[in-house]
Amino acid sequence: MSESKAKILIVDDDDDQVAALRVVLESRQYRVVSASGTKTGTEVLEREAPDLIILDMMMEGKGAGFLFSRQVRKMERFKGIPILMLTGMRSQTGFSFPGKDKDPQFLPVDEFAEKPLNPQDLLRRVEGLLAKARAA
Amino acid sequence: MRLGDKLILVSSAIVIAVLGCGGFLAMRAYEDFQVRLAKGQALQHADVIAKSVRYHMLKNRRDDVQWIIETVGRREGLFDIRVFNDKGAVAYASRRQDIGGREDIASERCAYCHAPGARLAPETTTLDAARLVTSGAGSRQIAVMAPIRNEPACHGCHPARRKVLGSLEVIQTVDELARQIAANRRRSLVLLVVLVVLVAAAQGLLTLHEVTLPVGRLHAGFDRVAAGDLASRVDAAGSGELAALSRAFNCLTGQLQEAKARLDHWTDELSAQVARATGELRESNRRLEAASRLKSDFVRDVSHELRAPLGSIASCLHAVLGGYAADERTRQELLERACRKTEALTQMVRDLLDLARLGESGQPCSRESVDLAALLGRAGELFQAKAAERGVRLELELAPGVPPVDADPRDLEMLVTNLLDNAIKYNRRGGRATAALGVRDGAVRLTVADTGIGIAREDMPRLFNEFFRSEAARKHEKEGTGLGLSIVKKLVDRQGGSLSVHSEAGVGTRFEISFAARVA
Ligand code: HEC
Ligand code: HEC
Ligand SMILES: Nc1ncnc2c1ncn2[C@@H]1O[C@H](COP(=O)(O)OP(=O)(O)O)[C@@H](O)[C@H]1O
Ligand SMILES: [Mg+2]
Repeated sequence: MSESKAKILIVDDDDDQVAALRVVLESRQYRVVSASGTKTGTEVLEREAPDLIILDMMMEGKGAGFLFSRQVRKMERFKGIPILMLTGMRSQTGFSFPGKDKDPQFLPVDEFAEKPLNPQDLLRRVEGLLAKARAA
Repeated sequence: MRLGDKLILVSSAIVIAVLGCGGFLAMRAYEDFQVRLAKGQALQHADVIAKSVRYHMLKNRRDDVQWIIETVGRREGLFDIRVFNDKGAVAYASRRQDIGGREDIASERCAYCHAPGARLAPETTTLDAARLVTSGAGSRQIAVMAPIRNEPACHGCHPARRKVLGSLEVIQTVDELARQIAANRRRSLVLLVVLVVLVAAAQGLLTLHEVTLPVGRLHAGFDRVAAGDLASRVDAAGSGELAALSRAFNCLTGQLQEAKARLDHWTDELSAQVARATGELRESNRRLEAASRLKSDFVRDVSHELRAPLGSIASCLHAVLGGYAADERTRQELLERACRKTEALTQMVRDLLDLARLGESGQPCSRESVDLAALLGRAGELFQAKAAERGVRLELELAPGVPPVDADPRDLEMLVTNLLDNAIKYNRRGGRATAALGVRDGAVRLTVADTGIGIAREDMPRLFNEFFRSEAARKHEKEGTGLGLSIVKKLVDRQGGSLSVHSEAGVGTRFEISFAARVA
């Protein structure tokens, strides 16, 4: 049951998106905390110490998630926390980001998920990332 | 060699030649005249002597003849008077030592008339018989020789068959005359030379003054003009052809100068125009670039702004349809979220369409006389409900007698709606939103003020950007497209009004818009 107890932080300024994610994740017994911006995101991160972060790429329309991910990696406690980045990028621009393995300095996230979300796909990625983190 | 120099040379040569020849001929004529005068004198002597001695010859008084000849010779200062007999012997002579001398008829003296084919017939007794001769002593003499004819009175002693009884010769020394002539010649020559030199010099000076200098000045003038100095003028005093030429030159340069000035003016004008046009082109290019950059920014923004809400609508619906909602209430909440987002999206699309419509150039904009007070009254009624819902007091302050404005009523409606919406939306419970209408400085002024959250100073520059919503505004109010104020800005520009904002964060905001009152 340790799996069901995993805590997930959603950082997204669109609370509808957060609400939808929350419903999907809670249906699998994940505990969900959320923040609507990078500043509150950091606060909630330190307070709640989640197991995984779901991060919106284009917060405030400006890719604030991008910076947030780097910020997280700089924090000693969360250097290894898995980050799943939500992005509408690929479908918008055809441009896909390199993963952490390829260029961890540039965009230190573990996985990407396209918006709009496919719930099943999201859950699979979340589970995969958590398993990998546990194994490490 | 310059033209002036050539002219001086040629004219001087002509002057010298003419003066030289003329002078020489004149001198010769004068000398000739002098000689003829002397010859005439000699002939006269001869004639007088011949007449004087005739009587004594008739009487055959030989001493008397000799006496007469001697006396006349002395008195008249003659070199010699000789009478030859028909044998060529000297029978009488004023120089006694000559008596008894002979002269052969073939001698030069006699051959003058007697030589076969002689120039003068033996009858000649004219002036031509007088000859200029040079004596053995080298002095110049005029000798006149005339035959002494036999006449009936003489026939008593001389047979009538003989035509001439002897010859009379009068010899006059003309050394003095010759000396005079030679002196004259020298003097004349010197005079002539001086004259020639003077005349040539005068002529040269004249040429220099009349031709060389003016031509030189003209030449220099042309040089200056060629070098670009169109202000150059030459001295055109006088009345000759060169003066006329100089005047023509001055006239020409004057016209050139004027033409040049006009050309310069045109050139300046043209280059100014070109510069202006280039500047305008650069400016419009810059604007176009900025516009196209803005446009692509805008397209990217629109894309994001439309996609993001669509994404969350889809996420909500997926969650519901996939059966992830734990209960009915959760399902209901997600659907409501999707529904609200859809409405917001609809509003966004509406705003975008408004914006696009306003952005189209050449979009017709009707102009009517609009009563802003009435328009504001209607808008106020429409917003009363929303204001009440948020606990905001909405007030209208309509000054009396506000003149109508010339504008598109739909534009003004949109403008008022957007401002009132913000004033109510970004307000607090118990706050106030005021729409006021008045006249100031001849312009109709619309003021929309509120006691709401205000606008941070650093947000001011981006206030009218598309999709801009301040952090505070996002926090305060979820709903919003960030397009309202950009629409307002475009509307005001289009209606020729002016817009200003005064705001203090946490205190309130006031938008002021002025329109020119309608000219009756
Ligand atoms: C100016 C011209 C002239 C000169 C000079 C002149 N005579 Fe005669 N002589 C005449 C004329 C004229 C006659 C007349 C001829 C005739 O009527 O046929 C003449 C006739 C004579 C006769 C006469 C001939 C004759 O048959 O009757 C003798 C002699 C003579 N001259 C000798 C001389 C001598 C000598 C000299 C030089 C000393 C001389 N003459 C110079 C003009 C000249
Ligand atoms: C009374 C006589 C007589 C009469 C008239 C006369 N003669 Fe003679 N004439 C002589 C004698 C004589 C001689 C010298 C002849 C000689 O010596 O051979 C002579 C000589 C001359 C001679 C030469 C010069 C000389 O003395 O030997 C001339 C010339 C001359 N006579 C001119 C005239 C003329 C002219 C007239 C006319 C106007 C004229 N005679 C009338 C007598 C006369
Ligand atoms: N009356 C106001 N008081 C405070 N802020 C305002 C007011 N009007 C506009 N703003 C600021 O300007 C932004 C843009 O306004 P607008 O274009 O109308 O967008 P929206 O109303 O959709 O937020 C707002 O998000 C807000 O930050
Ligand atoms: Mg607005």
